[in-house]
Amino acid sequence: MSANKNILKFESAGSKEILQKYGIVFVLILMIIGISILEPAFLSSYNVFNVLTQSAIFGIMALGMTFVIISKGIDLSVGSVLALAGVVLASLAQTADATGKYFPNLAEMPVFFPILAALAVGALMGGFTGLLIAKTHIPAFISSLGMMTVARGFALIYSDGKPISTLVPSLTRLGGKLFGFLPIPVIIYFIMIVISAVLLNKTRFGKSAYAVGGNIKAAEVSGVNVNQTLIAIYAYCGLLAGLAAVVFAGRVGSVHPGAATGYELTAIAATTIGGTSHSGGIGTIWGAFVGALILAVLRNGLTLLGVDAYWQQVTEGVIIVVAVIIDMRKNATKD
Amino acid sequence: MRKFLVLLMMMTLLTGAVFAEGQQEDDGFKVGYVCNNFNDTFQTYVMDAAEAYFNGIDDFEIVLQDSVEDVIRQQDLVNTLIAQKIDALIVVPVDTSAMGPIVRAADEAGIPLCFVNRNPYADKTLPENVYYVGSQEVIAGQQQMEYMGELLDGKGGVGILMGKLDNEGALKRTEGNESVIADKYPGIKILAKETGNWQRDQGMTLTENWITAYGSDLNGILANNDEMALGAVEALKASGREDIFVMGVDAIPDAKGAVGNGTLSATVLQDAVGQGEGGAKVIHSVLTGSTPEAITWVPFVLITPENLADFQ
Repeated sequence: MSANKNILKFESAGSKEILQKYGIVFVLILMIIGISILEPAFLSSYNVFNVLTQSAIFGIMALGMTFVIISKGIDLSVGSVLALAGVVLASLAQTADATGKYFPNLAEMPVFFPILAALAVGALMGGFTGLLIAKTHIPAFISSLGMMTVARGFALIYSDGKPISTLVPSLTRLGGKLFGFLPIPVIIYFIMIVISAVLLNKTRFGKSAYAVGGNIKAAEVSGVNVNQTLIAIYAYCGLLAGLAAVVFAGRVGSVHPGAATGYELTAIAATTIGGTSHSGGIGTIWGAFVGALILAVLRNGLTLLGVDAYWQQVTEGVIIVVAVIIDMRKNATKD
Repeated sequence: MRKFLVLLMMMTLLTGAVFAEGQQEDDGFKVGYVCNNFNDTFQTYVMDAAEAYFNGIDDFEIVLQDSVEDVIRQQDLVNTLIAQKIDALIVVPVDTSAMGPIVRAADEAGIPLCFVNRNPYADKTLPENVYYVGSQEVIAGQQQMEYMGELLDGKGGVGILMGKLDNEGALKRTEGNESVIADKYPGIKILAKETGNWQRDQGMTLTENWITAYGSDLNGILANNDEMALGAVEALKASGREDIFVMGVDAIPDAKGAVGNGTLSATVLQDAVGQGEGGAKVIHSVLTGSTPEAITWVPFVLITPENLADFQ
């Protein structure tokens, strides 16, 4: 790398740093420019809000995933946790006259309670994954893989394999638009971005997450409660999966136990594209937002441009790999 | 800067993929086809038929999209296609209970929407500018029984192997069997009606029991699917009864093989081509100014030794 650096001496340190830090933003801007030249409809306000809405669900999950990956972990269970939190949420939020009601005698309650239940289910499942990792030292990949199957199983058991639909308007409203143009999923998403950024950068919890991921021994020595931190990180990740379930139910008006299959991978991809390093200790909320946006722009743009659906998948995969290549180079330069 | 090279490479790949597809011209009609899942083999036959139909007429273009069995992805694709100003939508629902937002989006965009194969409006009337093309399970049962009635010459005893009892397909196919007997073949008696849960082994066990219980009174077996029918065929082979007619539904390869060697009398095929073409035709006629029926029922196809060759 050092020879390479010498060749690049002509470049000012400032611009190089900017490129390292914001390289992925350039990718996003290039994509936006490219797509909007080929298809001007891409930049219509209708479509811009579309793209943001489309990134909201896996974007919210990617925020939690950022904490997890910074701590040098991974959480494969979030898609299944979304489904489980979602069926619980839906079962508590059906209209009084829904056919085949899950709880036939349950009166309609303020939507706040079903939402609280969904968040609690998410946080509990996540917290349990964290507990497993902290106490048994089973690798996060395996623990969360186990939880992924367990949560999906519970979702199927709870719902008896059937979708739970006809949800109250106060819930489906959350999938709609404010003032007729501002999508509520996007508002929820942006609020969570701010909260997550504050948590990660301004609190001891966030600093502990970086410390645990950077060097777990050093973190322990310097007084970080590693176990508590791990449990809190996974609980927060699960909580956000529960919140994603709320947005999901709001947008779809029905939750199927098979919902959100594979979303964990989209969330991990968004986080990774955004530069959060799987070697731990490095990553930003901003990055997760940009990563999720890149995936949404890509899916939306390729559809707009009429690219063959099979090729869309190939391109998505290539972008993820290329983003990680950039990410690894960035970290290599730092050493 | 290697990073730039990487970026460049990526953009080249991207634009390369884009240009390889070519840009669409703006004249003519563009129809979005949002499939539930490209991995669903049956659905790809439906989709291919719709594509072939539109490729065969001028001024029409079809855009195929894959929802990968994800309701949110399906909604996103619909919204994206609408942003692209397509003229009509054909949707195979991932989840029929989750189509509300898609119907609303199409309505707000003022474009016609045709659901194919899975009906979100079972027993309900469809909203304006929304259409459905599909098959009725009850017809499969009727077509099966019509043929059985002919083979038995209107008299004898039959057993019905039902699928899972909470499944609409199982209930409707059985209902179809029964309605034909009631209307047309009063001389045929239903000796037994039990569930084999779609399973070959359970179909076999039930048939063995029926052979013991009803002996020569049993002349035909109507199975809700091919797996159970093939189980019945095995049981009959083992007991040496070659006089009993067996019929299934689905036209799986094993069943077509059994129709070929005469052990199975018939199977019923859900008409993928008919449904795909049907959806395309509905949209074609809406866009060219006519008003098709809100619902188009596509009949099933009965496969017997006589027409088996057409389906190999």
